[in-house]
Amino acid sequence: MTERDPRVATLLNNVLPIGDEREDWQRIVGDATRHSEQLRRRSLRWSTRRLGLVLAVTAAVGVLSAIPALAVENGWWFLDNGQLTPATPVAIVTSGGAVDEAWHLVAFVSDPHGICVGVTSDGSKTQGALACGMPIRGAPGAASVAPAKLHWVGYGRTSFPTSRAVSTFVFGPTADGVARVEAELANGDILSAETIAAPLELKLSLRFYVIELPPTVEVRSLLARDVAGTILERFPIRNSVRTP
Amino acid sequence: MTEGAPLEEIERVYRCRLADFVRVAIAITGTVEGGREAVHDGFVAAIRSRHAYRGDGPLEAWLWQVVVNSARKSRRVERDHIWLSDVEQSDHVSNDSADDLAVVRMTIGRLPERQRLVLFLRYYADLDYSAIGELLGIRPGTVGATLNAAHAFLHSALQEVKHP
Repeated sequence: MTERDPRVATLLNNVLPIGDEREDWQRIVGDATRHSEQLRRRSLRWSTRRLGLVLAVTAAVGVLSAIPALAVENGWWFLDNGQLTPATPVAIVTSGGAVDEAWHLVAFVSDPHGICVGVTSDGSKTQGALACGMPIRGAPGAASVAPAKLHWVGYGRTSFPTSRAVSTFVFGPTADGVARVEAELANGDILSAETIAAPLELKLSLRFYVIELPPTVEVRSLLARDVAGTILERFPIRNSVRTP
Repeated sequence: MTEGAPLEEIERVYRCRLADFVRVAIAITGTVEGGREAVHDGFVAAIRSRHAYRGDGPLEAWLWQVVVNSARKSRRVERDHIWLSDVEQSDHVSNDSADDLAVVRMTIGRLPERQRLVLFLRYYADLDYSAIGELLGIRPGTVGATLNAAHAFLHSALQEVKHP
């Protein structure tokens, strides 16, 4: 039963009478379209940049447990060991950090391991991480995975030194419906990041996230939320490197 | 189960319930402009993420979630505003009535956030307990209890005004 108190109804009507609102549907649709285009343009702009990485170490993974560290100049370190054959260009999803110590969230589709996501550093040239084959809803190869084993959010983690401190990141792909990822930290704090649309050249209905962690604090779990804030998945992290 | 919400269905709900969405969003943000922007931003977000709608509940309920979420985010940014201070009153409101309304506004502004949200969603959006509970992630029984607490607080506060 849903009771309405007539006196309260009158009070509320008096303080905020119902108004004549002007519809503005075209502007809403326009803004929604424009926002998507901006994200795509930014992804394309970043994807034209070339990285000169020297050495890298792999951390988290789906089907791949590790990619050996390699010294590769003027190329992607993770492509030089022969384990991965890219089926798409390697796209820079987003970047951050200081100019001379920038980090990049990169993604591509590999054959046969599916979606690969990594964080690499311009600055330290010693470490990074790449995670491949995560069973994410809507990812390439997801159709062959039992629905119960598909995730809304994937998890990778890496740390590398910068001139000021050690930078630690959690990152990964998400299903298309995930708008925000929250990292619940062991100290009780929550860090969050809006997800980023897949760069156009990847032709994927996926999104990505990256969260920089404070020093020495581990992630206890990841929460994938949709645009309404509904939790789509709580993904527990049992140790610092874990496969979904 | 549906995957994604058709744009035309979102538009239909927008056109049918725009005044209610805006009214609730104004009440949550505390300002007319903030409310209108929250509805605009909410629908922009809904269109961008319409593939996230899984069809396990009514589309309108999902849109309410998106808009309320947008308004609550906006409210967090604009805490300094006085609740509904920029709402224009109709000309027929007398000075005494205007004073009473100011007291009512202040009283509602003092309610805990959950009570205010339940109140707005029940009276301005005309949602039932089940829909409100779904939207706020609480049980229908808790919605009823919260609404009762809000009623009691309002009655008590307004009684004090009339008989100080």
